[in-house]
Formats: sequence, structure tokens, C-alpha cells
Amino acid sequence: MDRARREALQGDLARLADGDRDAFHPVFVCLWPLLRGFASRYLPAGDAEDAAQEALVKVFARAAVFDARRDALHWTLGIAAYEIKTARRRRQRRREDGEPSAEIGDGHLGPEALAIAKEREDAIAAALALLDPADAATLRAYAAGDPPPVKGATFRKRVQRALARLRLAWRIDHGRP
Amino acid sequence: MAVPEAALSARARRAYEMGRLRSALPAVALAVPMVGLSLALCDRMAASAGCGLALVAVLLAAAWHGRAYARGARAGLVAGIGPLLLPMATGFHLCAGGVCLLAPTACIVAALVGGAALGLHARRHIPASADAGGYVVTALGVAALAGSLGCVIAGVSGIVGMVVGLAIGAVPVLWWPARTT
Repeated sequence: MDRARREALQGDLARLADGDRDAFHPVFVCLWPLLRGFASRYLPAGDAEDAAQEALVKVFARAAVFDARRDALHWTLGIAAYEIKTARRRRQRRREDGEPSAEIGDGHLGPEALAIAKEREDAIAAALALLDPADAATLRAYAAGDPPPVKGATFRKRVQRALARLRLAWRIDHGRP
Repeated sequence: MAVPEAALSARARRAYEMGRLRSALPAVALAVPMVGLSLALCDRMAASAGCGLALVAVLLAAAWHGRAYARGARAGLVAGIGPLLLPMATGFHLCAGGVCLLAPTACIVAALVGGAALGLHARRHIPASADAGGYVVTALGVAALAGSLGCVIAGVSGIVGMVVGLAIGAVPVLWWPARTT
């Protein structure tokens, strides 16, 4: 978010806290894409959308007590971060309870989960293609659990370096870790 | 689950209005001990309860609406403390067994001081704008209702005297800079 938009958000949220309803729409228009993008960095698509909605509603529910001396962006992202944390905890609990969140009855993945998995595989393949072939081969061998072609410590070091490069390539391509 | 932006906006708007209502509750809580004092000391249950209910309603509406109305309500509450407490204090000492002549005077004097203080505060801190009228009207209204909780001890004359005192205290102070500028 650039400086001008950040200052506009600060002013609009302060006006909203004071009771100026005209500031509602500008704050909504500014925050909704911001929170959606923020949540999608840390959660899969469906959960991210839900968490972003909850965060947005909570921001507006607490807007009346927003202290204009505080940074509006930090305040908003703090609320969103808490929602994301809650959503992740919920996901974790679902997994622990063995709730069939994305699977269909016979243990196979549902169409949505399949699509997400396919999208993820494509993204990993694209990031691997950006790497040096030796790094890509190291990571493929590591992921497949193949016996290392070199000594254990050397292989671990290579994996570490290749993973760092993969993370960098992923971040450049997708804007997220 | 994705929802249309309009539905999300409506939900956010409802959350905002509910949040404003919740944030108005502390202001209303300030009125509770005032009403309690009036009920306990003034011996006019119906009048005290009526004034108390009106004060709570005005405070809630002003704090929920926000802006100049909320600021005016806060200032009015402070300005109303004098007319609330002074007649009760005089009633304690001088009017326990008979006719109370000092209480209406106390209402008027406290209201004059409260009104003047309100006018001075508005003159210094509230810029002349469309909101200034809302501020002054809300502040005077809340001060009058808070004051009436104490002045009820002196009957209708006490309340009328207090309202007139508030107006006489506030209006010249508010009017004066308009003449000089």
C-alpha cells in the first residue's frame, strides 16, 4: 500500500470512528481487497475468503473505538492477523478431528481439493523450472525420498540451499513465501 | 465462501452501527449514578425516573450518532453536574423539614455557571460549522436533563429556573464572539 492510500485510510478510519458515515464506503473499498490479499497469503483460497470477511466485519464493528492516534493499517492488519490465526487453528482442529473437509465419501479428494492440489503442483513445477537443473534434481530426489547420491551431510546442505533458492523464486513469482 | 460485495458491505454496515451502539454504553453508564442519586434523595420518583429515562435516551442517541452530537453530550453531562448536585446539597442542610427556598436559587446559580462554562468551551473548541448547532443543542439538552435530576427537588419552578439559567449562562457567551468578529 502506497503512502497516499495509507494516509487516506488513516483519515477515513478516524472520520468513521468519529461517526462520519460518509467515510464508510472509502474505508470498505480500501480494506476489502487489502484484507483478502493479506488472508490469501496465509490461508488456502476458501478459508482466506472467510477469514477476510470476518476480519472486515470485525474492523467495522470496532471502528467506533478506533483511536486516531494509532496507525490505521497496523490496527486493521492486527485484527486480520488474529482472524487468520483463528482460521488456521480451526483448520488444524478439523484435521485433528479427522473431519473430511475436502474429501468425498470414498476417501478420494473432492473436486475443489483436487483443483487446489493441481494448482499447487503446477505452481511448484513452475518454480522448480526456474531453478538450476541440479537444484531441481536435488529437491525432486529429496521429495521422492530417493537415496542421496552423495554423503548425507552434503545432501542436506544441497537441499537447504536448493530450498532457499526455491523460496526466492516462489516469492518473486507469487509474492508470498 | 464468496459473497457478493453488496451483501458484505451491508453486513459490515450493520456491524459498524452495532459497534457504535456498544461504544455508546459507557456514556449511558455515567448517567446511572445520577439517576440513582435523584431517585434516592429527591423524593419525587416519577419525575426523577422520567428525567432519567429521557437523559439515557438522549445520551444513547447522541453517542451512537457521533460527531458533534457525541461531543456535545459529553460537555452537557459535565455542565449538568453543578445543577444536579448543588440543589441536593442545599436540600440536605436547609430543607429537611419544611419549605425549601434555597434549592430553586441553587438550581439557577448552578445552571448559570454551567451554561457559561458550556458556552466558553464551545467558543474555544468548536469551530463555527454546520455541526456547531448540533453540538450546542445537544450539550444544552443533556445539561438540562442532568440538571433536572437534581432540580426536581425544588419542583417545577426549580427545573424551569435551571433551564432558563442554562440558556442565560450559555447564550451571551456564544453570541458575544459573533458580534465582535
